[in-house]
Amino acid sequence: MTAHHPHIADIYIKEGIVYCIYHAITLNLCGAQWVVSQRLALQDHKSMPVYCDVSQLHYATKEARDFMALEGTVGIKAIAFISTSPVSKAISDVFVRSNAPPVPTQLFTEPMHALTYLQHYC
Amino acid sequence: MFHQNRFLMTSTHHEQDRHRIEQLHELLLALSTGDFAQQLPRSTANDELEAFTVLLNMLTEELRTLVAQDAFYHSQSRYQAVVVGSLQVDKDWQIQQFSSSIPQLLEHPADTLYHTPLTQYCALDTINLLNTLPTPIRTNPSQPVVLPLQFATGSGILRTYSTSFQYLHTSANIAANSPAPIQLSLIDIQRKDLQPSVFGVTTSELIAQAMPLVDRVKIAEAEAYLKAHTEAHPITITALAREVGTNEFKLKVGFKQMFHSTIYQYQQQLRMRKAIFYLTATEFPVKYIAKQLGYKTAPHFTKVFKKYYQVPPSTYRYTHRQPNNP
Repeated sequence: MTAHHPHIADIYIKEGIVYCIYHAITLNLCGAQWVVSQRLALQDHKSMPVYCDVSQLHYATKEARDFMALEGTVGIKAIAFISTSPVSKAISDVFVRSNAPPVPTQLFTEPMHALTYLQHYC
Repeated sequence: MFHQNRFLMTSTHHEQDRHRIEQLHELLLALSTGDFAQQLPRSTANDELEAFTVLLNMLTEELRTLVAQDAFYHSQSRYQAVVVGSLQVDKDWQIQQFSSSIPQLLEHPADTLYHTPLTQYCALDTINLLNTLPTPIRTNPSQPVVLPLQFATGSGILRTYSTSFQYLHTSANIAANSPAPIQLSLIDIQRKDLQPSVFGVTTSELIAQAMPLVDRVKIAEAEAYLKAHTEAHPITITALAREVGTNEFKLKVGFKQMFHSTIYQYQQQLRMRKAIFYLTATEFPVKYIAKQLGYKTAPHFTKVFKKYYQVPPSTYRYTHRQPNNP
């Protein structure tokens, strides 16, 4: 099953890992709420590790970041952020340091390394 | 010819980068004077300079939130929320009237503002927001609604103001059956002392009054712990103090100073915030939600929820369900 929103993200589950691939957008509170509710619907009450590719993301507003750091961590065992551009790295750096998500979180530039990290939480 | 074109392109890039750096300087100067309403406009580039722009914009948002919290909760705060300007627009967003401060705030000459659409001076996100205004403004126009609007100033910098919207029903437009104009009031967080020379003195005073860094770090750790363990609430002050390695008194007093709430109230707020999310965005049964939030029984959760929001969880879910979760 896949959740797709042309202006927000694609979300799907593969081999026990939730994949959340953000599009080239400014993520606001409404977008963040959509992502989390769709993710929870796909997970069906199970807690899972999340592969979160923010490489295309343009910006994430303060409200979206705050929401993601509390409500957005429901049902998550660990998060691996993939950021391959300077802008997306800045966004994920601020999120991890300033909003301090309460689940194990790491930043990666290589998808393979991110998946290896998430395997520990499957 | 090829070399000449490449030289022209490089020189244009340098010119654009120089302009972006000038804007970064402008924002840093604004921050140093306690002005947190500014944001840098974004370019299409995805380079280190753009990443720095993103970091500065996020830093400004974080500082603005901190200062706004202080201004709203502390009467002794050095900051206060004030209406800095107001505009009247018609149903098509054409500017009809404005207060004398508006041209200076938006950095546009007064004569260019009259009878032009407000959207001409707004950032793209704000234009989208105005085009999809929340329902309360349309359905209950007598109630003021506050939204963050971002304006594009004459110098190219973006400025964000909390803006209250209210329809102005006058006897004239009721009699003529014409749409009421909308009053927009721009609210900013400002230092109570606006004398730049006092800034150095107040900074050292603030440092003298401030909590030691080591205590602030421990209290921030305590807050992060509460956020991460909502299912284990209520967590006692003794247990929390032990968890972050400080004493109960420092934790209790410091927490109140930093978060304007007792530890117990804060835990309650976190649990209720998560409860709202579960109720409106998921299909989880109330019993399951109660368990997730650390309540021993569903009736206990219902009782606390009702005390907080005046309605039981099931009613709240029914009336506030998100559109994408019918």
